[in-house]
Amino acid sequence: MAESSDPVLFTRRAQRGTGAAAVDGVCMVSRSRVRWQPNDPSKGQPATLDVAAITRTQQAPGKPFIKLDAASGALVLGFESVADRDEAVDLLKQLKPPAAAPQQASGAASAAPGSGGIGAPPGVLLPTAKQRAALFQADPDLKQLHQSLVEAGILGEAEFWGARQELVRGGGGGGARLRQRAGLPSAMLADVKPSADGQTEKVHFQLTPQIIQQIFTERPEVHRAYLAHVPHTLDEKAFWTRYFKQQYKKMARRRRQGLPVDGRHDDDDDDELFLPFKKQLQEQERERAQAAMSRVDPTVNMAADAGEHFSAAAYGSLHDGTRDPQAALRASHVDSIARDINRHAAVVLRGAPEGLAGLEAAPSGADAGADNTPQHANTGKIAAALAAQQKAAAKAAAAGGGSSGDEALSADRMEEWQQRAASALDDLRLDDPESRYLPLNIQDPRAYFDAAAAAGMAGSGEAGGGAGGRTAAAADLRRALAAVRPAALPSPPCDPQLAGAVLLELSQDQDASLVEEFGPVAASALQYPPQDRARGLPPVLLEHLRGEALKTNELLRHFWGCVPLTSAARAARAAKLGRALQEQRKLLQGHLQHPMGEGSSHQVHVAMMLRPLVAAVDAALARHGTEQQQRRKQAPP
Amino acid sequence: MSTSEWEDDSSLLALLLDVSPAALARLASTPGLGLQSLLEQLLTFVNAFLLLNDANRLAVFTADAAGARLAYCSPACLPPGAAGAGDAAEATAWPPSVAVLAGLQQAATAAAGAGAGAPAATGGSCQLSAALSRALCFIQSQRRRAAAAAAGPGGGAAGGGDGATAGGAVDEMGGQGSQAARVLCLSGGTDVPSQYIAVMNAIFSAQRSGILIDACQLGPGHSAFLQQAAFLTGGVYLKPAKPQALAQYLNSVFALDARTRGMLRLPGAAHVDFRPSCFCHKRQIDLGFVCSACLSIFCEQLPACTTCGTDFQGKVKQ
Repeated sequence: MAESSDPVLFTRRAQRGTGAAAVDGVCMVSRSRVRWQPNDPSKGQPATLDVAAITRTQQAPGKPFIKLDAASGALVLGFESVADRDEAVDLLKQLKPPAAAPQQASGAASAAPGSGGIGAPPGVLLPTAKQRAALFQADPDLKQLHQSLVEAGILGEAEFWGARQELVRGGGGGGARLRQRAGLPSAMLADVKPSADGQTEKVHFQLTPQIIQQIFTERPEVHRAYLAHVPHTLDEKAFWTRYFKQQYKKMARRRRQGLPVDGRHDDDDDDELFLPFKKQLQEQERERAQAAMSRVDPTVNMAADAGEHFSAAAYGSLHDGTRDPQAALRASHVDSIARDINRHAAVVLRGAPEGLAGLEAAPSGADAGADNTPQHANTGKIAAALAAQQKAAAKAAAAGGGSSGDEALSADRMEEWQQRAASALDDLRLDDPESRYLPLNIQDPRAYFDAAAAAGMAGSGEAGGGAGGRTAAAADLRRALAAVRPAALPSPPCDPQLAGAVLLELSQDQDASLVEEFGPVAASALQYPPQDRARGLPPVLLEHLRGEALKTNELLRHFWGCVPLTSAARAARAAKLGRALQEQRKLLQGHLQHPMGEGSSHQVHVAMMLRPLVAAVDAALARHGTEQQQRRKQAPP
Repeated sequence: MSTSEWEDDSSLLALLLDVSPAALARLASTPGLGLQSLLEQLLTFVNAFLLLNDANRLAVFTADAAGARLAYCSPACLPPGAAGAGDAAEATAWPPSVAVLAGLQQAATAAAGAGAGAPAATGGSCQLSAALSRALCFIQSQRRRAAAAAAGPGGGAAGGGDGATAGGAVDEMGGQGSQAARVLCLSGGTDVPSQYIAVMNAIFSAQRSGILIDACQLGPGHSAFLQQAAFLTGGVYLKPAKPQALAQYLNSVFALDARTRGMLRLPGAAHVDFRPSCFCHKRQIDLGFVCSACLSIFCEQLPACTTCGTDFQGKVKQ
């Protein structure tokens, strides 16, 4: 047979059929087919199914049975243990062509043509049998939910686990599929400390390719200077010597607590080797910031806030102009440190650039100048690779920015913003500097409320509208105020009987609808404090209700995940969930009606527990109804 | 000692009374209540509140469509140097309802004067955000003053002649530096969704400064703003089923300070309506789009966040 080219991957004892008619045999699974052979050929015929032809696999919960549906007929096999069965199921899942997998996962509902989107989204990871067993053992509720929803056919496997990807991915085993990106050390460059030998005035810096790469990414001006000058005008050693001289001066300055000796700013002390590139970069950065600003609604602009500019000198009302003038210089020094830290953080978070990982393993540890030939090659490679990568990134950004950035500036967008601004926060408008600081007491309420009405809001004009209503109301108020005699307020201030009823209402936590439904029992049931209300109920019932509540909530979560019904797939899924919710509602209603015998306080407590669930289901169903109506309206006649 | 326990029981109450045309019309037409009865019951509550503790202080604000006005505040709330602060305290010793009513009358007259000049507003609801902010500012200024008075007793006591008065003031204020404060909104109108951001900001600043916001909704339907305010600040939201017995509600629920409430079972907020208004059109929405960077809420999908500028590039998390 085909055994030679199609090796058997799995062999277990299995019975065909169930019950007394079951026939002992062996199940073999190979890459392309499932085969069952009877031990005694006289008792049954061998069966073979193509893996690709299997339309659906069904497993009985807790029993070692599997049912394989195919166009040619179903094959029911009983294994010796559930573990054997799970192994077979997993193997089949792996063997199935990927296109067919979602169909299998989401069950019969997805078998309809054109509804492939209902099933698993491509990124959903299903747990292996082992993972699943571990998860179920850790969380019995999960198992119960799985039983009542997935195994009952209400939700597909992929839907169920799609909502719990954090469990599946976090649970180990799945880690092999996710490749971790190489990270960068989070040590700051300040850690490249000079080492002095104590004999001479010289200091030595240790450079490794990794450090060079980090310097290049964190300080692009050094990178550009390197590309421009090495090896044409400077050699490797001279370049790094100048870099570290400048760095050393900067460190020394910072160590003197930022007190500038000669009144220069911290940034000014850059070597002229790097300065032109730094200016060039700053220019680019400014342009980029302006481009980003153009995307922002100018009326509410938080992006305009420069986050790095915290400083020792306070802003606004706390600013004190008489403070010592050194403070500003110190502030700029603090800014420069903050900028360095932020830049470093950004580089580390971005992670190691692709394609440079191999270089990190290169030999390292050479003294800055002692032996520059091997390092030269390496450094050049790093610099070139980085430059190429940045160019590619810039190109991608330009392509992306070209489409979104230009649109952002279009007159339509601008006009839309202006219109919105007119209906939005008045005091944040930019166009009129006079109105930027509106007092809290808004003098012209008309603009305010007109805006609300223009935005399509249900007006709150119950007052009968217009100036007439206003003045009438004000006159009413003044009349009433005049009529009150403050020194002789009526006693009692309100109807004593009413007051007594109110006191009861407030102290008894009464629920009008419960009282209406259950009569006096409700009042006595409500006298228990909330934490004692479940005490008399049998634990079995409580456990059951808890399961129902979990199930209902899970269904609701999936349902709201489909709203709004923007596609046919979503609508189909919502319809399916809607039916399940209706069933669930009936079930809950059944519990509400005869839980523990009529007229007991237990009944009231069960009602209190389940009513929010029923209300939530009702809300979902109502929403589903309106959504469906809208869809029907939008659909072409 | 038990004295420290007793000292904490006083509180500062800022009462916001909604006098917008919509609310007044609604209150006046409530069967069995009427404006006069409402005011009488409210003044009864005011008297009761000030009787509960000698150090209790009260401020009453009226809020209408044009903003909020301070109608009355306890003499102890006036700045120490204010003209006639002491005299006023002497003259209107008891009952305080007299002074409160006079303040309300003044505020109503002033509002009428201002309203005559101003063009008629189309909507009649009150400026809840403005009123809340005003009340919070008032409470904050009281706290600042108390803190300042508590911080500087040494200099005042050394001053000799007026050391006694300065010391007295500090004594009085000393216990009030951390005096519990709360705001009670007596609302008669409906929410104005366009005020959503402003109201929520006021609520968050109240939450941050530990100020409770209580709400008694007398208007039609529930107020989502006030429900959220009470929920987030730990206050009580109540919609009286029998507004005719308003005094009973006020006295049994809102007269209690925060510490006492901890020992009582109060009517809880069973259902809080957490629906926000979108930032773009101020519509109340139950499903929307949220900026992943700044959490701004929008009712429609946008290419970029209009608050912080984050570019969504067509990928919006719903």
